[in-house]
Amino acid sequence: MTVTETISSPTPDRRHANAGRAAATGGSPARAEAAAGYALAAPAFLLIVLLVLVPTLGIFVIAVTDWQFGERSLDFVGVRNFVDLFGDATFRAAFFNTMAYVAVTVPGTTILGLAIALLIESGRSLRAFYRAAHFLPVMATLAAMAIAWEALLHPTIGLVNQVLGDLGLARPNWLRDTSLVLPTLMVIGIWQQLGLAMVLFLAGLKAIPQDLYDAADVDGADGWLDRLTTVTLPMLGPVTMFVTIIMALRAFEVFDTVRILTHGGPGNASETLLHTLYVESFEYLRTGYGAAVTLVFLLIVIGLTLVQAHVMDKRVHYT
Amino acid sequence: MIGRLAPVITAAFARHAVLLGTTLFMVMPFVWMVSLSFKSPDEFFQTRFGLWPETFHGIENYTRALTEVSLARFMANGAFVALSVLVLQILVAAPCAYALAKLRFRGSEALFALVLIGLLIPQEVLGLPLFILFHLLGLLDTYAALILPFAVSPFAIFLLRQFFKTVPDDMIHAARLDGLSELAIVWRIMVPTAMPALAAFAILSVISRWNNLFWPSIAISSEELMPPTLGIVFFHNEEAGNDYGPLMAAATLVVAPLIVAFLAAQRRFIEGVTMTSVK
Amino acid sequence: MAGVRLKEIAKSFGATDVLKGVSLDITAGGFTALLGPSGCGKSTLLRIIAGLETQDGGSVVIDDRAVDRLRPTARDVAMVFQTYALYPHMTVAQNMALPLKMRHMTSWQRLPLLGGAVFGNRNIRNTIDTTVREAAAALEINHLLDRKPSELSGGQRQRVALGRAMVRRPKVFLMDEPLSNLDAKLRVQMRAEIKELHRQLGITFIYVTHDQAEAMTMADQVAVMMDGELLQVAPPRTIYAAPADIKVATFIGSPQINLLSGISRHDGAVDVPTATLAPGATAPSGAKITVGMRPENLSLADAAGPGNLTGTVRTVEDLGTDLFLHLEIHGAADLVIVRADPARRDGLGHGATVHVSPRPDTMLLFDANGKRLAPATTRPNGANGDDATGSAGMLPGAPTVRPLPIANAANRPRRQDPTEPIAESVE
Repeated sequence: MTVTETISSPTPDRRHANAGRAAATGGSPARAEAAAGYALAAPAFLLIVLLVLVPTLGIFVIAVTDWQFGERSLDFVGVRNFVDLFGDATFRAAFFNTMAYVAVTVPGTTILGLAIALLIESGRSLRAFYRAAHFLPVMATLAAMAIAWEALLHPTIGLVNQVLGDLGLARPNWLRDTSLVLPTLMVIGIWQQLGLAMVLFLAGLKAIPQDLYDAADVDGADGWLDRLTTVTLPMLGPVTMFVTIIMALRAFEVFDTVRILTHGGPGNASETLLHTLYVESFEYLRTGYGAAVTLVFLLIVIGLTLVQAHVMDKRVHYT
Repeated sequence: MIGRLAPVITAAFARHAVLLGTTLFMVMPFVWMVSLSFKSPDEFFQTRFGLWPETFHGIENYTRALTEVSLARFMANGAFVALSVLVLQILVAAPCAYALAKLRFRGSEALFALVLIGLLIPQEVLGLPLFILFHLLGLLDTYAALILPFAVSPFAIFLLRQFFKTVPDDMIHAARLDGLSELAIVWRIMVPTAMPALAAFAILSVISRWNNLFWPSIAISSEELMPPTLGIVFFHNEEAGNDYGPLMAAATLVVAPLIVAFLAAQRRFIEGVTMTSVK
Repeated sequence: MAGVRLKEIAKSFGATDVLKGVSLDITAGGFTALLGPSGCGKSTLLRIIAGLETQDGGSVVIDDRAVDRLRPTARDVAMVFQTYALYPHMTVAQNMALPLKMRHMTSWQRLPLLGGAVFGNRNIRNTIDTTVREAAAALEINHLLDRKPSELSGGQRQRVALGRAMVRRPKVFLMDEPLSNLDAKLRVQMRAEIKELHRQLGITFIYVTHDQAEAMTMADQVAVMMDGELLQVAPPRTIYAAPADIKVATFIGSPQINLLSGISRHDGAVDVPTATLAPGATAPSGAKITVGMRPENLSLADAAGPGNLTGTVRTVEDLGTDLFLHLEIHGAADLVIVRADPARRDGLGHGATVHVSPRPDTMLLFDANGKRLAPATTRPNGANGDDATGSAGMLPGAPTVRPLPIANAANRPRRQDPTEPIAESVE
């Protein structure tokens, strides 16, 4: 949030730094400065190349082969992995489930996060308490909390079904019912990310100048609804875009709950992209195929990140 | 003002009613987890029970969590890995960030572009190729496999560069005249100015490592190397959902360190976690 | 026409008393400046008048009606904010139309699309549109109506803010440091325009500023505030020439007024370092007195004399139009500044000994509490002994003998640049 600057050309102050080096190093100051630059940047450069750049390029190579991890030979298969991918019922399920998951959790977290942030800010009492309570799941280890959710949703002894039973309602098996399992994971997803959206909105609310509310008061937009529509919501516009993308990025990465609670089942009812990626790559060791899934995932994430960068640039116009 | 008092009270009441409701939803899994961790197996399967245990079975559950599986080992692994990663990240990122912010050398723009590309690539995408790489290096199922992939954080470089750019050049000139080497300038002049950002980043980094399940599931198979996330899943699969007490005790212990730290330093934690929004 | 009466307004934030019972009558249709250093409570007072802040004690009366319990809109005031507070997501036209829409349209009619189709708001919309266009034309911003505030310069935003306040024809126009975010040249220009706007609208203006040049050039009544209290309310000329309080005297005028401490004698004269002055006001014999003399009321004398100060030149500032000499007077705490004719510069170098004679009818006498002592006689130039409130002071617009040497040196009237529109021409 705080870092909005992107690439910039060499600034004048850098040239100042340059000029000053003569005194320290003697000889050719520019060359000495460059040498220091290379030396200081080298470890990071080598590690990024080794751990990020080469692996990423590697995916592109592997994705067009039929390599199975452990095999000694492999063949170039062109786009066959991708063709197979979209013919594969599991992948299609994973793709559409993930889209549905994103389509529900993103508005869910964004709208609830905004509503809760507005409610918290609308009064003075218990602000810190509410903020902390709603933020807890963001920090908490999701792998452990997934197990807690499983206990909460246990078909017979879970608290949820006990309460439903007391009310005389049906007691579904949340994580084993084909039609309920994905919605259940969505609720857990919203539960987990809601707090992040909330604190981002709280920061956005703090950034709205009091003068605008004063102006709205004087201009007659002084009911809560008028203030909301005249000042608060329009001023939160950029933040909302931003939160939406963050939430989408995180929603696409849903993995822990699927891995622990459902393994993508029953059937493929809760299969998701990242879980399929994991299973294909590391359980079935279909490396070439896994790389193709990875590329699809990468494409989505990069697309979203580029939209985000674009939005961040646009943010300037509200200052 | 007086005429508007009644609506004000109603509004305040509604605010608390709604927020207490959502708070209940947010904390229920925690409450349930802790509650179960204090209960005996008999008590679970009674059809009617409350949050408070009838017989306190906590000591037994927590003891079993710590002895039946090596939970203490998992948590020590987690702490060791998180701290090692953090130290490496800072050691690697700070000099590079300084070079990018203040030194002029050919290729610095290209390097910065590389950092931005690194920012763009999510860790999950690198899972497969890193798995192969670490297999080739013979490092799978070692601490190195848990630590090395995170040794360089493009985000840390990006963040520190932003802060270092705000340090006046005259301060660097003065340091050079005082005889400090470039590396000494990084650690003694630049890094201290970026302490707030570094603190937030440290929190973010530790949380990410402690909570990460994806990569350890790929890289680790030996029980004695498992971090807490993998350990709790391992425990979960062993128990197969029959013995909730120790499992919930284990889950509580895994979640506790971050929650306690969060409650102690809320603002810093929120800063740290919201910083991800740059990513 | 609506006057504003403030009765014993008190306000504190925590332990800090920001306003300590301020009472003030603001003439209907007049231009009143609330002038004071930052933190003196003037902005809080303005916000209380607007209804954005609730006072702890006292009452605000607008147009003979107590408005203490009314919401800001119901008070029928408009306000121009220091930051302009334009809605960044709305165009200039939408910004200006908002107060009218809020007042004249129901929330149903304000709905986009539906409002027009179902609730027949076209006539109201047209009226509002016309009003906005008229105001925009008056402010010469009609070509900007479709722009967003971020696409405007500081001066243009300022005009939009004025326009938004104007369109609803408020009873009272409140302005909170509206020029402080503009550059010096634009500020001078906007001073004239705001003054002109006041003349056209003919409604009550209350203008908060810390800049004495703005207060002195625009207002016909200046209320000087310090530390939550009103020190003097009077026309600008009186504030300058006959300050009620030593704090007012030092706050107004640049360079600052010279202050010499002395002891009054039985014959009404005052012994100050190096001289015995006859200030013309009366003080009890033997009382500790401070004599205030503006730099332009001191002139160089040829020789020493009982009524002349003697000092050594420490600094010479030649501004081209004026020559300011900073003199060290033996026995005086501060340097005394004298305004002289630059033509007389020769022989006035550092260390030169000079004699200075104060114009007797311009000397101000303050007692030990800083209150000004009433003069014994009436001054020929009209800047005479008003009482502290200045209500009996000279009328605004009465001929002034000398222009006011106020803080904004670039805008000293005598050096008026003919290409630059200057507010003083309105005076």
